[in-house]
Amino acid sequence: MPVSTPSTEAVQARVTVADTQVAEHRVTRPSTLSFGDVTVTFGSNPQASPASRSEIPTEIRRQFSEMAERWYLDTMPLSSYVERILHPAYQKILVLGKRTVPLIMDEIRDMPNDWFWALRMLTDVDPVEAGDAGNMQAMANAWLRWWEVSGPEWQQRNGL
Amino acid sequence: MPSVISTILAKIEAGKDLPDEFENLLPGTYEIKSEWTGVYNCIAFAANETHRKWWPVPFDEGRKDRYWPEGAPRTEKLKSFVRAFEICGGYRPCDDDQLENGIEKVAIFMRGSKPTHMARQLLDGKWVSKLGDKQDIHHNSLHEVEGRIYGTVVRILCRDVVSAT
Repeated sequence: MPVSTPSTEAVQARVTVADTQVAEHRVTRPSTLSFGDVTVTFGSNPQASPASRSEIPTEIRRQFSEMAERWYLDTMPLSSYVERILHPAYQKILVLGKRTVPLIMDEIRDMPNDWFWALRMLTDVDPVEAGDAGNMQAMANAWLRWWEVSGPEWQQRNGL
Repeated sequence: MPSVISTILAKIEAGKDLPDEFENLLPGTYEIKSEWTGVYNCIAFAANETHRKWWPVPFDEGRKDRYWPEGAPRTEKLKSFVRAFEICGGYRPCDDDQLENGIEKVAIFMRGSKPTHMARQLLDGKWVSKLGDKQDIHHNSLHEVEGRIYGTVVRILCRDVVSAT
């Protein structure tokens, strides 16, 4: 049975798609946090595909919404900061990468919550004053100010 | 597109839902006193604060996310909470949770080896708890918030009301 040979253009197209898919799921600059017997690896994905730069892909939105809802419902009764940020749904949001940052901004705009750890990990920025430790509204305001002033440049720099 | 939290709050009609994770919190044993808010937590509320969250975050990267009194250990251990309330409010360990004239009491809950929750006694002997990011409630006894979420009461601290800071 003869085997057809794909054209060079077709092969290149497949490679490009494959590279994009790998880049979509690659966690770059991994960091780890060890806490007791738990080690968490987190990271971000700055290599968004060109096709996704203009808007957040529907699939990312869907996964974010699903994970965020799970996280809210499971951790709402808890006061432990550690339990909240080590929750599996929160860790999965970190793995979704930098394209979740605008979605997280929407969350803290509506109700300040424990998204600041994720924002620091995803942006490598920390606009919160040390004197505001624990002050959720002040921390949310600092992040929203940063987003308003520096968000567009940060998105552009990260190819989002 | 609405945020996830706004969708959740709309679904549950904030402030009107029952905190049903707490199996011992039965109708008639508590009153809801606030709406949901993520601005403060139970530890802050036990220390009479409603503008920030307290927790002894044990790793440097997260310390800015929670207030914790200077001088108290930043470990998730009972002694850290006891020391924090000694530093911030002059609390000392005491024997029981019974109402005593002129004495203010707080209770520390633990699940396994880690503190999970604190409650503060009111002048009428009832207790007040902030349920995570959910409501503040007044409850008749500490038992009402014991269970699978917060575990059990392990320590009562007290201070003279006149010396309260």
